[in-house]
Amino acid sequence: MTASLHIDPRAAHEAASWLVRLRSEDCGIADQQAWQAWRSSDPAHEAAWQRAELLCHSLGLLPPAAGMRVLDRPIRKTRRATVKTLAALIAAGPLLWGADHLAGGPAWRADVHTARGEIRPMTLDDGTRIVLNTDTAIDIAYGLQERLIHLRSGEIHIETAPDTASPPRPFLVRTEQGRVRAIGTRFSVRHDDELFQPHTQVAVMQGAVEIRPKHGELATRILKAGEQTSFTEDAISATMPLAPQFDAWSRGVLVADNTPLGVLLAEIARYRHGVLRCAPELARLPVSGTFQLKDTDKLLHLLQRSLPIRLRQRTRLWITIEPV
Amino acid sequence: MPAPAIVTLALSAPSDPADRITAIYRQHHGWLLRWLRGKLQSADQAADLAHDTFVRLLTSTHQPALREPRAYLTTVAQRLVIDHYRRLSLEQAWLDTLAHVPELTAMSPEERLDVLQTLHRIDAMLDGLPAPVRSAFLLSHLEGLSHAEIAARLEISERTVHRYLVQAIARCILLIA
Repeated sequence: MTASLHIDPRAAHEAASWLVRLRSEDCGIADQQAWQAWRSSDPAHEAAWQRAELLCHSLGLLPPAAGMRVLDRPIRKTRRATVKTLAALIAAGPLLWGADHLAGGPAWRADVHTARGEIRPMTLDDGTRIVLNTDTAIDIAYGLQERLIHLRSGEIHIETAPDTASPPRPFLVRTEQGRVRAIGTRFSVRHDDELFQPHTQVAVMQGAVEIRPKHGELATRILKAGEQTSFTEDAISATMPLAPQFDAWSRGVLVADNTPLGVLLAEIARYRHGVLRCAPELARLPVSGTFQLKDTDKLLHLLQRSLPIRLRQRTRLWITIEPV
Repeated sequence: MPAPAIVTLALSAPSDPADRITAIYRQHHGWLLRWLRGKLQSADQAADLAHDTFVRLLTSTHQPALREPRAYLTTVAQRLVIDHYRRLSLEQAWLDTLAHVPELTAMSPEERLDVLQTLHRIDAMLDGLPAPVRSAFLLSHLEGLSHAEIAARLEISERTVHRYLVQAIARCILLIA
């Protein structure tokens, strides 16, 4: 757990001011530079800013019309009374809240995380290279016994390096569903937090990994280069051949090869705030091409130019793809 | 790079408090239930919230909770009651909205549940802000209105709009998790 549990109130206030300024119409390059400088000048600033991004992300999940009607409903007496309790509880310390209250995903507890749309490569002390995909949170815990990456949400691509310690420690990736042990290797792990079937996807490019679901003590499996599968807490799915270009994201691109538009848009939505909907009759339209993930607005407009589709933008955060 | 040992320490309970919690339960469950019945419409709800209150106690790593159980239980139960009514009013508003906003009927049940959960989280963070502060924040972030438009809508100055927005966002930054 990192120090970001407690956000400095002053940093929170400054982060809020920056968010307001950056969203205003007259925000220029100079503002952006000043904001970057503020962010990097103090870890407390960065921590507060990450929370601001998390907030924008949450707001982006709401259909605007519904959000307004529900959240701006008239204030009742009961709400007023909450103020006091809230103040008392904040004074008593945040642990008193219980982790489930106001819980918004685990990203803030992680050591490293990426915002929506961000792809970040990093090299660890032992030379292991990790690329974090969009909206990903990991804890890095290298101990005496093992090198452990806890994947809390999102997707990572890993190239392990031979351990510097002797004897070499195993390299493990843990998710909610179980763990993956690397055997000299290049592989990727994705945690899919689906409502009814949360699972972890694993794909191996080089070497091999061993998968062990949380509750499946006997059900371990070795996955070799060129193979992929997924697993839940209890069981591992069938082993499949590796889909081509499935790790293109780690190079910042998305490759479609006769990919149904619906599937492609679901993938693009991972890199954006807000809602991206596809008219059902377009969902099967096949699309091919290589797209830059850096600017998904541009990507969508590119799709609009080359396909019989039309982007309908209700608000900045609510886009519907419709037939022309 | 963090030492994993710290994580382990934070997760493991201090000296095993199970016995103390049993004692607290025996001693305090009765009055807590009566207190909750006075605040809620049904005995079932009171029993549920009493249960939730003890669950909070069990999962709390906050040590004074065990030393002064009555104060802790009252504070937690009070908040659960308020929360209960806030959730009820939010869910009512959400049902009304579903009935009145046609574009929402296209959502799958899972998407609706996601939206409802997000609404609950944001509602809890905004809870306690003055109405105009809350409205300014929502108009800016959900409707995408400019400061000038919000100022006109709420009949306040643009400076005040700016101040309200910073106030609401700063609060959310402190509470969001």
